[in-house]
Amino acid sequence: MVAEILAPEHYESRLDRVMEAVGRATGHPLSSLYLPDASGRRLRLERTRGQAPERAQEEDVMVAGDAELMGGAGWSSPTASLELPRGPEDESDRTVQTPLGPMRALALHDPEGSLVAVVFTGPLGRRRLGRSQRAKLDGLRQPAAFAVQQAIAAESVHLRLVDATARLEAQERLAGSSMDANRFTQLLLDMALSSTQTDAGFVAIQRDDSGELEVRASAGMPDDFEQAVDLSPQGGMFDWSVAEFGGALALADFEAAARVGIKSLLAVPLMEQGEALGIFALVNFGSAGTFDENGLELCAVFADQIRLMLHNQRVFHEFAERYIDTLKALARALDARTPQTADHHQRVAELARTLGAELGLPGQRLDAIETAGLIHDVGLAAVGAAEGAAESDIEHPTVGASLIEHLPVDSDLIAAVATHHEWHDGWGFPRGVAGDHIPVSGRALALAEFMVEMTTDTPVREAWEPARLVEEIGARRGTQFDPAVADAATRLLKTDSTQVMAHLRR
Amino acid sequence: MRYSLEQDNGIKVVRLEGPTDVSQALELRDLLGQQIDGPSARVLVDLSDVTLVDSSGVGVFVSAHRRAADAGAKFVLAGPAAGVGRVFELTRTNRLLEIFPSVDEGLEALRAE
Repeated sequence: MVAEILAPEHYESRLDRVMEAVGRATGHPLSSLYLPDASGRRLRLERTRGQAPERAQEEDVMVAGDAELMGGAGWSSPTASLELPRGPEDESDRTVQTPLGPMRALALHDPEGSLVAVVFTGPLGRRRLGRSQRAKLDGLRQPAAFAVQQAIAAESVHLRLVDATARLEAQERLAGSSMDANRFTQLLLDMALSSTQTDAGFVAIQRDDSGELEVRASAGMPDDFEQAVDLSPQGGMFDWSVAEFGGALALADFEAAARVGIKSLLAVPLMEQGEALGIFALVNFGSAGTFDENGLELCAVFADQIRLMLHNQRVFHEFAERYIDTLKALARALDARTPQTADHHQRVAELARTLGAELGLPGQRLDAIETAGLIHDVGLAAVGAAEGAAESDIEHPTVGASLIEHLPVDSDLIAAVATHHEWHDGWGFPRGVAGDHIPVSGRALALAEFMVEMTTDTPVREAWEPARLVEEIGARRGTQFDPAVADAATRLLKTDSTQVMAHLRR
Repeated sequence: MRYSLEQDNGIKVVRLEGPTDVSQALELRDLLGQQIDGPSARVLVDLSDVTLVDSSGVGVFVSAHRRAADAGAKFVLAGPAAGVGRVFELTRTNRLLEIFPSVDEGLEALRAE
């Protein structure tokens, strides 16, 4: 996937462009590019362009000392893999004798004077390079060295990205959580900054409900950035014409950008089939104008990768939501089988949420508890009664949790389903975990289910009244139920039993 | 960012030079805004000597484009170098702005208005 997007042939075509430029300057039919290897002792043949003329091979073959080093007949084969020992003579231009005749070796250095590459061009034939050819070659030297350096840098980013993606995909198969997607977005952002040599950047996603941009990953931005600027779609920092112009994105509030010290920025819209996913922005504080052409291409590659990531994540979340809806429907169908279980999941979910709120849990955890309530017994559907009712009953929390454990959902939701029959003292099932090892979502769900069941008439037992319920919860406090959850339930029953009982009795 | 102003048969040509960044964006927006002074205004920004454009530069052009559209005037860009053209593509503002490959083509289009 990444390999296709990053177009690995890009690396080779960049190098080819360098050699074609050399070929045009000299008029020589053949050029080869050698790169120093990591050891610094050898030069490795990276690319060969053009074809040695037949005549040259027949007539101009010379066997000199250097020709042996050139790898003999390998010169006629553009795909040959060759290495040369690297010596001090490679630091400057020189003429080298080869089996194809003399070749000119052009040493390319970076501004610090390190050898970037050696380009062999030739065969020289009987005429020496003219003055204008030499001048052209000299003019090429710096841009060629820069282009080779950029190609190598981009290739190294590409390889790191491929590696990171492979690792992430492996991780995702194991965990399947959206946390990994966020980590990967952050990783992509960090790599984009280092490869484009940009000070800072951020990825903001568009919220489905409000359309507001929410920073998902950032690096190097001021701490108060999100508070300091307005990322709303209308009248905010950006002018983003999603509906009108297919996502044209530009900076609109120059003062706001200047206020947080931004000197220049490049913000790219992330779109998927006409739908806005978010934006990817590279930011410079100190100096403007570092987004050169190569930087732009790298930026495009990362933007594309982040776009894919966000799109996949969105698709996966939508899938998870629909899947959970299916489980909720299955749970409702289970409830409908007998009069005393009618609406069981709905009632447990409502009461568990009320208990969670009484315990002071934040909204996100209340949502997880409520969803867990709506599907907590769905595992009962997995094992048919014919195969052993008792067995299915004991394992149903594990089976239920296994149905959702690979989804990008709140871990609290999975844990609540898995532990809603555990006891505070460790005597519950299926795992016999105790105390704090049971998440509060599971503890709340356990008591909510108990309250719903005990206040429902069954063929063998009449529904309990609130006073009886308070008494029984008190008796089980610290053994079956977590004391704090038991106290919360008791408080609710004592202060507003009518409202609580309304949840329980339908 | 430097600029010069010229007239070409009633077309205002704003020739920009150098990179754009946040610090000059307001000044540039005001400059372009002044050129779009009525429904008959025809303004061409010559980008031939602009080395780099960032989102603030793009923002200035988008704001001028909107201003011209509101006023019933014409505002076009012309002659962007490859890198500058790429920024319009990446930001998808090439779908919004009128951009001509060369100044001559831009002038010709405005004369035909």
